[in-house]
Amino acid sequence: MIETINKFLSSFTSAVLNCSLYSGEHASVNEFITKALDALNILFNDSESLEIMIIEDDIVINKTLIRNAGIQVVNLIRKLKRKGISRVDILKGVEFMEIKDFIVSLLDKDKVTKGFPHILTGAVDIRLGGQNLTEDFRIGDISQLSALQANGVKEIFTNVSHFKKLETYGLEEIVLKFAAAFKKEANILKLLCPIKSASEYTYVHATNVAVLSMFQAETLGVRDDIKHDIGIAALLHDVGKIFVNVNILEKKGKLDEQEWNEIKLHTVYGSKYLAKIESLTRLAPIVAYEHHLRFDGKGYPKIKNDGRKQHICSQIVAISDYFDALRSRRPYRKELEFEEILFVMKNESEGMFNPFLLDNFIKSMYRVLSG
Amino acid sequence: MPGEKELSIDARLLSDAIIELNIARRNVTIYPKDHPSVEKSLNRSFDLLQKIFELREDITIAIAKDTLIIDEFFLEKKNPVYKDFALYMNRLGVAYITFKKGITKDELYEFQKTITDKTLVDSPELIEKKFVEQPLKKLSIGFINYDAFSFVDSTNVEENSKKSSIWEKYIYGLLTGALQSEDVSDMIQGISPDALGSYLNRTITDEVKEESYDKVITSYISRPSSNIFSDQEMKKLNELINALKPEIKKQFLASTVRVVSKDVQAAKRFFNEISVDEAVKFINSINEQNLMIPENLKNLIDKFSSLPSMVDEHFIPGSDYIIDDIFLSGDARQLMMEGDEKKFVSEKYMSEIRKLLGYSLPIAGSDVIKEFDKEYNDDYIERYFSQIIIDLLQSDFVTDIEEYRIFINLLNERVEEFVNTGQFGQIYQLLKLISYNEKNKKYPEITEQFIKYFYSDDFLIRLIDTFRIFGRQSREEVWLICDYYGELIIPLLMDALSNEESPIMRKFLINLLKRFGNKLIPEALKRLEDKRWFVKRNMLYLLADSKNIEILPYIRPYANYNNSKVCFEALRCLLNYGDEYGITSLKNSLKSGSFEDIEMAANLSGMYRVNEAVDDLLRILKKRTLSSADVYQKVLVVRALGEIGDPRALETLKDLLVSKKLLFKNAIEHLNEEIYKSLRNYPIDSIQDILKEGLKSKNEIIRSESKRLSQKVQK
Repeated sequence: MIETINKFLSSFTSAVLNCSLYSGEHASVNEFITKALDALNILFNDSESLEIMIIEDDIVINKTLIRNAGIQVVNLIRKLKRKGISRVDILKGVEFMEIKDFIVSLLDKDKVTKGFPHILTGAVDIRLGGQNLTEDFRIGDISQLSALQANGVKEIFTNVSHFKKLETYGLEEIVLKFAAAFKKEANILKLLCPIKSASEYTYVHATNVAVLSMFQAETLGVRDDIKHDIGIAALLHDVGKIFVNVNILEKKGKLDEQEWNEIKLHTVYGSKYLAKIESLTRLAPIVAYEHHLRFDGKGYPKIKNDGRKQHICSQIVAISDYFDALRSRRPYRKELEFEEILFVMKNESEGMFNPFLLDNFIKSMYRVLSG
Repeated sequence: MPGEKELSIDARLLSDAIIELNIARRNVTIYPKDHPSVEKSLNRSFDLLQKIFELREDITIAIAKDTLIIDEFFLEKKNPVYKDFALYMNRLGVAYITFKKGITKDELYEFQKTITDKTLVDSPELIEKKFVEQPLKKLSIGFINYDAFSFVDSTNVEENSKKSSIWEKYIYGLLTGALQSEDVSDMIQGISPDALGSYLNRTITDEVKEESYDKVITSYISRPSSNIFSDQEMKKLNELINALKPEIKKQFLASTVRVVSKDVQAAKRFFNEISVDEAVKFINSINEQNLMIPENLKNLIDKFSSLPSMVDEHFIPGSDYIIDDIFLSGDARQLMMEGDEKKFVSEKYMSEIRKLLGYSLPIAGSDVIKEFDKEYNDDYIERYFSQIIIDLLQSDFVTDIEEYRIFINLLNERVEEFVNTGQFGQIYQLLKLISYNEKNKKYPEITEQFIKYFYSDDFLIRLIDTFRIFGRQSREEVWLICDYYGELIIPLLMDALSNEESPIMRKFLINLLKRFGNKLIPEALKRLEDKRWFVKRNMLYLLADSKNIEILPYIRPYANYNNSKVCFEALRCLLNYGDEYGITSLKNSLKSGSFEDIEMAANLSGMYRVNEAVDDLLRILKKRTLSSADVYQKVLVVRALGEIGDPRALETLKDLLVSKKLLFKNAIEHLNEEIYKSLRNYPIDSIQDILKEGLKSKNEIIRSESKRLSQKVQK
């Protein structure tokens, strides 16, 4: 039975994945739904339904915990959770089109994943006897405990080294504060937990790039969870500099070629470091790696696979990075005026940025700053 | 839940016991019972348990996914040993373990042995069965009962509950009476200050006693496994007090002061550990409420106010200091302590940044935005991520074996995804990568494992299965993969071809196989012996294009095979090489009475322009026409002769054109049209008279063909 459940899960997640990457009309989606349905029909010989429960990051099917389920299942869990679903019951009699419609609705942020005759969606809960909990005592608050226990960003960045993994609790907190500040117009910079880095400039720069990137995401109508991830990725975009020789990083004179090459490696160091952290959004290593790639494919690091373009989030962070770098006062040069920077970005950086994003950024900045 | 009563055992003892149990678990996995390491760790965990049993009769360790709970107290969630132990037990489906007074070392060993038994760990139901069938006298284990997780309509689940740790709720229910009852106040510690404040504002009445306030405060901030009043807890407490309505704020603050001043040593630690901000907030609140501060606490506050604001062990002479391996300038330190970002960013820019924070544009619905939406898709992001890992592995920057292992494992997890979504380009890059690393003997052990997986039948069969779905969209990448595997993949592709029902897919697979050229000959010859006619046909089809004359002896027997499709392919193959045996067989087929054989042989004669077959073809043309099928056969022969273009055929064709059409008039008219259509390969001079007649024909097609060829002659 577990073999058939695994077959179902593998086919179902592949159908979801292909529908997500291509479309519901892609032949692969039909192929995998057919395979999933075949497995389901075998399972229905023994029971009237297939119960899928998402318990935190585990998947339990027909009361059996599925072990080593793999990345596809992890992504399915994420998709279900995003829709507020932690329980799916598939009933005997389910047909191809119903599964297909369910998958399509699961992937469409505007569609409600409900109302299927043979696929029931809901949540998993523990029924505790006795009195009902009042709203404030819902167990949900316990999950905030871990955030409260975080020792803050100070501790997080103290832990950044080759030998330690980044503690992400505090980063989450910063980004949530940014997001809240966007809504409340609070003075967010007062609330920020400062980020330690190899140089003082990097700290301020990282936070500003995060603010600017989340701002861009906001203007682009990016959904909240991605905006949050962009914030995290932007905060960490230069984390690789921690692994660059501090003397080079803080050198005031001109850099020679070797030194410059060493600085350029911060993209590789950063992505290597961040890619190893399971709990971190994948956007963090992507952005760390790509934020100095250009829209026209030039820039660094040199990538071997021609034709691959910068991820949209790296493009967003690249704009923020450039803007803030020119905007911030540095020991060796004066800061540029806001208009001067936008002028430079628009006219002197051809091929560097996604023109649509750059226009959006400039327009949005003008609209905000003109009140 | 946590905090209502204090742990009756020393936290340190408990921590050590869990650490030793975890060490013992690891040792039992590796070594036999009598190994000194096993004995040592078992003895130590046994001794620690004995010390615990001096204080209590039993101890239950409950497991809420990655968190351990003793009695009703959460153990430090961040402690890696607790976490490791909890996750391991959770993976085995264990909800709680109870150690009872009187437990023996043998029982302890038996427990460790069972939970680490390699034959059982992958099937927790077997572990459960074993403990049920052979229970340990002084050790009991409870397994997760998924029946307790019930289905509820998602609209009926509170937002908070959706984010909650359901494991904690489960374990809580379990510990407090098998999921039957609960005490609301138990859960106090996990609640956010705002939520708790709001609840207290609504529910606290004047009748509440002083001790109740103390109890709430103690429950809310005390942690069994760490010093009370850490900075985070103080922050939480400050937030709680701020969230309270004025009428009860004072009582709670007074209660806090009482709790803090009870233990001066703890209070001292508290002032040393919390941040200046939190301490000042706390003292300000006390002042605002005009509270009386106990003398001992007052002294402590005075002392505290005269201390330097912050002690940093890592402060080094000069203006710099070091934390971990990061050097930071004195300025940076100041920045972190005071948030003095002005030092690096002008006030003007800061105000611009601040303005951004309040800005929200309406969601744009343009196509560009929709295109961006695709890239925000989790699966798309995963794809990018995988590509970066491949890039890193291909670079010279992964120089550490552990790092290499991590990245290889990351990709290994994704291989199935690559396969199931037709990401053949990434699979090819991986293959190239491991091949490069194998040649360069880079981390051979890890590389070897990876290679083993990529060369397993299971993987290859799944890969080929997905060629069927995605292959036609990525022909070149599929070929690169096939070329990488070389001869190894040929039999599997041939199997897939044999089992394929779709003609389009068969064509795709055949084209793929044909690109192997001579490499496929041995396998194709072997499969000629397959009993299924269509397998023979496919193999002959593939062999026909190979450039190896040595295969001919293997092909010849099939030139006279009893299945015309097999026969056709065999003849095609032989004629491709101009093989005499093939020509003879072809002629024999033309002489046979079988309509099917003649049709096939006529087609091949034309296709390979077999001059030797002209006489046999003409003989068929000269035969009397007895049915429309005969006319159809003659059409095929005319076409074949047309391809060969031998002038010997022209007289017979002329005869056919002038013959009387009494029967099968339409069919013969069609035959005549075909004759004119077939003239292009004959010597021009020898067809002039036929063309002349054709130009006069009443048949439009014949006239037009004649005109076209005549113009060609003139040119």
